[in-house]
Amino acid sequence: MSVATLSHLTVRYGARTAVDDVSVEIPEGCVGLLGPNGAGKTTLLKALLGFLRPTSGSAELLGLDVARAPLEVRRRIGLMPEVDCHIPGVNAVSFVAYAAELAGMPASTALGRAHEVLEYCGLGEARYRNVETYSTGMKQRIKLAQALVHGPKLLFLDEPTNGLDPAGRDEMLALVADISRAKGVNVVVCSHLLPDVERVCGSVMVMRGGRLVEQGTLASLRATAGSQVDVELREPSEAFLAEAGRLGAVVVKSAGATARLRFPGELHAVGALLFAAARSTGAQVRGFRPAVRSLEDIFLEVMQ
Amino acid sequence: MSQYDLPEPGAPTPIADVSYRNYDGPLHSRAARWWIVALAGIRIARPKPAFWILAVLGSLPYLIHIMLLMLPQNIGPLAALNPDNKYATHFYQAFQNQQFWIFLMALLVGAGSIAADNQANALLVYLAKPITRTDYLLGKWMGIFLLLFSACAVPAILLYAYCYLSYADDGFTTSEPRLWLQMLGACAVPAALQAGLLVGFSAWSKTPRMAGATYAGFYLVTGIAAGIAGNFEFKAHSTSARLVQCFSVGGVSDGLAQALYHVTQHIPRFHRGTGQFTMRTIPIPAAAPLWGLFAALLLVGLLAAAARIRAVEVVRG
Repeated sequence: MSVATLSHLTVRYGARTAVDDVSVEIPEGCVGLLGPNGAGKTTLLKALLGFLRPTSGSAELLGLDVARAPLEVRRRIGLMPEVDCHIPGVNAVSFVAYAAELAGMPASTALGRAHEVLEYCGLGEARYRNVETYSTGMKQRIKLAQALVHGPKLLFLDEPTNGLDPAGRDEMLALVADISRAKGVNVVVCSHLLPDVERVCGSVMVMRGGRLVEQGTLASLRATAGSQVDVELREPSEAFLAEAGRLGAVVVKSAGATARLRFPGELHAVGALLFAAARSTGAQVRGFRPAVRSLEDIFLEVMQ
Repeated sequence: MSQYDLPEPGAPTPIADVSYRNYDGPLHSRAARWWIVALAGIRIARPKPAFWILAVLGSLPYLIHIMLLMLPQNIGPLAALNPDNKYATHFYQAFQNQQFWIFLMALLVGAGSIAADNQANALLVYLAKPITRTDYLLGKWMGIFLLLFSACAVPAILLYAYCYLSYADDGFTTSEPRLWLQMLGACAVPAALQAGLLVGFSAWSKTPRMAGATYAGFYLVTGIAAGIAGNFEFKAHSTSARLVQCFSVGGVSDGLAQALYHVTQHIPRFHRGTGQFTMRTIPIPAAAPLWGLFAALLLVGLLAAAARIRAVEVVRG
């Protein structure tokens, strides 16, 4: 099942193309939208929310055409923007209840719901304070609360951990993971912080220059081509790498005493080859394991 | 049932599940979505002490006219000047004296209406919800309008109630039967006009102070310019001069109120040469051009705001 379907979506600002012919099906669950600054991530979000009219192509969110039913789409989604945004002069409960009413919630339900969601987001004690007096971490939480209050089926989080200290970042990511996994809300996390995305997302989309250049589940993207292993030696040994190369391995990368090698055969045959190379060169193998690409590896490969 | 048996499904249990759940209840598609925005504007203005102080100061002219009516000898001169609408004269004069406070109140409740949202990026929150830009604009306008209209109309209704209770037998209801309608119309004009212009100024400003300062400048400069131009014209023709005097924000409201109440003003002037007082008559201005100017100013304010209200800034390169 997909929560959004984009078909040849293009957004231009004058002569500049910000989103270039993007076609993708965004799967259910927590999806990371990655890309360097200016890649078109935020423009894509704005187009999905109906704030920008696409130059060409179409987008469907939760089965609804964004261009034809923008209000229905916005009723079903929540947005946590990157920038600070609050209604001036009101406390957190009033702000969140107001957001709920704007989304169509009955006034009597909205207030009770505001208390619940603020408690859930960790602002229970501070809910009667004016939002202007909040710290950066609290402002991030209230942005999440106002996006979540009306029970959206799809949540867009734009840089949810911006400006947070390590503890605050951990708590925010735990909240996002809980929303996605335990509460069943589909989440799109737009971020350039790869470890954050890696921690909470099941799949990723990578954009560059307005184009979608990589997409898939993290598990599938992490999988390496052929049989690759990360080998740890006692000390760096050029002779070992050369001997492994003579036996058919390709050095993917090496740094100090660790190296990633790709072997032509099956993974179970790798051990014998490694030990043969170690025996002939006098190198000491501390350990080896099947290689897994990190999100950073994937991102850097795509960017190159 | 023993104490260890499970309760029937749906039966109340002593253990409450208070864990957080995603909301799955109804979300209504309201036709009057703007009303939520208007109500929020009113809620923000209501606790401000300055709002209540200005409301009280704006009520004073009407209270003074209640006192003037209470003194029987004061009814005589006013009644002699406008025998057909002696009560309307009181209402119009109170209205005139109230307008400065309504202008200050408009600055207080209207200058920040959209500018504060611009400053705090709140438009992104509003427009990410299922409301349109028109809903937002209408809600902002209506919030300011209702506050100003209430501040204008409540003391006027008080004066009307006093007149009704005290002079019903004296022909108050029969001699000026449409006075309540004229009163509500006169109160609605400045409220609607100032609300419309202020949302325009506010939408184009990044801070409430900037919006307030710009609007105050516009209000005062147009008022002074129209007053000077009108005074030059007065020597030649008083009817057209009165119309020229009304070509400002405050002037339009004043002129339309005069036309609605249908009151000719008489202002005593002292002549040094003769050493006597003479009455300067200020005629009722022509209503049609003033209604046109009112509609034009209101429309310009609303259209200017509509052009500026966007969830995101789009810079086209």
